[in-house]
Amino acid sequence: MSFTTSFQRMVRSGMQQVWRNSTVTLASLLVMTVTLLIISSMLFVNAVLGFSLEQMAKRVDVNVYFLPNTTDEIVNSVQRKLEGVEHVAEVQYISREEALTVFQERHKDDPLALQALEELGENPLGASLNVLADNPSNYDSISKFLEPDGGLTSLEQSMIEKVNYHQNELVIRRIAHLMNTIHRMGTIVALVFIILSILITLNTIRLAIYSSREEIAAMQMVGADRTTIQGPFYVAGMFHGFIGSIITIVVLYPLTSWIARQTTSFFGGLSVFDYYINNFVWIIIILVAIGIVIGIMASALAVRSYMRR
Amino acid sequence: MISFERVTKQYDDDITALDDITLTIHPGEFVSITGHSGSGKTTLLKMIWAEENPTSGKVYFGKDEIHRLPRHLIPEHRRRIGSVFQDYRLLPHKNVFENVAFMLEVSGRSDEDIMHDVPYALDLVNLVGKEHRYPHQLSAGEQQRLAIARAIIHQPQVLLADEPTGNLDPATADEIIAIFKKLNELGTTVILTTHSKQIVDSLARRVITLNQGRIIHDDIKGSYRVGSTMATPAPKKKQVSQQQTIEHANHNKNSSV
Repeated sequence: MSFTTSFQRMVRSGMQQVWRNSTVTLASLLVMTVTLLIISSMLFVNAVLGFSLEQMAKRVDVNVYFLPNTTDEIVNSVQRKLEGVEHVAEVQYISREEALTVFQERHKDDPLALQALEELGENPLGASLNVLADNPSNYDSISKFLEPDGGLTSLEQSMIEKVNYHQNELVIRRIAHLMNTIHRMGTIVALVFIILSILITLNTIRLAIYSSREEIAAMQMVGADRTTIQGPFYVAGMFHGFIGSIITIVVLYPLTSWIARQTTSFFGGLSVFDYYINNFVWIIIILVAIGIVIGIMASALAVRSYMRR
Repeated sequence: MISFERVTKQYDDDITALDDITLTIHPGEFVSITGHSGSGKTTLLKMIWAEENPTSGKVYFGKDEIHRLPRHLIPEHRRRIGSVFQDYRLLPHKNVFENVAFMLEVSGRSDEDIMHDVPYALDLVNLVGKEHRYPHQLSAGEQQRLAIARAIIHQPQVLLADEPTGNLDPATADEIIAIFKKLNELGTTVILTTHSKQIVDSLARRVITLNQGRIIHDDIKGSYRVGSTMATPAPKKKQVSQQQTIEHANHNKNSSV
């Protein structure tokens, strides 16, 4: 018998199982859809968490203030050196003029401050560098670079008025620790949920296929080999996984839209719905792959446990 | 063709299902195995199906020692046998046609063969016109006839029938036995376990009577023996019967394939 014939028979028999054994099909689709919804919600939670932490991280920075008489060459040199330091994501240069504009803007309702500035007759503010790390926990090493015996020349070092890391050190450390903890806990919780839901699916489908154990035994007794017996169950499992993932993808559309309306401002501007639309192809690939793998695994476990010698 | 050499089967709880059985069944024979419930009839058939392993002794199918066959050859071994069970063991999600066709698919036959042979087998068991029904839509007699069609469609060398008439009324049982007789006339070896005195007597073929896992009678042209209903066989009679069995086996050896 050719491979094509046996493959066609396997697919035909598997699809017959799907249509004719409607109870098993419905139970499998239901549990598969719920599992895939849990998995996708974990993906979304992870994305939202990642985005929120990123936003939080962006609010943490270190400022290097220079003396007013520092030349642009020195500031530029320090900027280039900082940009070459490991874990530095971005270094923003704020000129004396910009610093003055920001000061005036910030104190526009404070006539006393503005008057004092006017009396001075010149710009008392120095240029500064705003340093952003790739992770808040890395500010410590960046700060060390700016310290004496760090990576700067003594001239550059002497032109630095202050580095505000030490004032904010405790807060930065706390935020870094909190972010790491949240990220780690989020991943663990997501994994636990995913594993639990997969185990529940496997067991539910195994119980659903329990009704087929007599059929499997009968097939064995008349001399059917393992491929003939297991093949159609794999096809049915694959079908349950595929259809379950499609249902999940369809359900996610209105669900994410609704959740987005309720939570966008809460999550710091990330819309779950936009995330769903922007990552649509990836979400389809991930859910279909997971659905098919779970479907086949459940069928394989069930059929193998019901097969005798 | 099929031989048991000093076969004993004991289960974990020390129940002896078969006790030192030696017998030979030759090609073309029609053998009825009788005995009350628990006498070892079904265990004997399970040995031939390779569904159970003997605790000691050997079971041969032709030259193959069944229980030494590697796992992957068991399906091929079972396809040499046509199997009919008291509970039919039909495939509930396949219709009448597909149940019979399944046996040919398993045997690796082409779709053309299936379309040609299945109607013929269904005609033989009088199920023409019911091809699209599912097993639960058939009467008990029809289900058993379907099981027979599935058992014979691939022209097996041996037909094993485990109490095939146990759930049927006398008239339907007679129909089933008539089909077995016809198959036997066409050359198929038939091994039948039954409780029915009427069937055994009407066949007037070889009858093996079991009691508590031992052969107590093996008659070439036998009838339903009173001994099969005895609670415990007389030890002396049992020994004589086993001796007769061995003689019977030797007597028939020349005609075996």
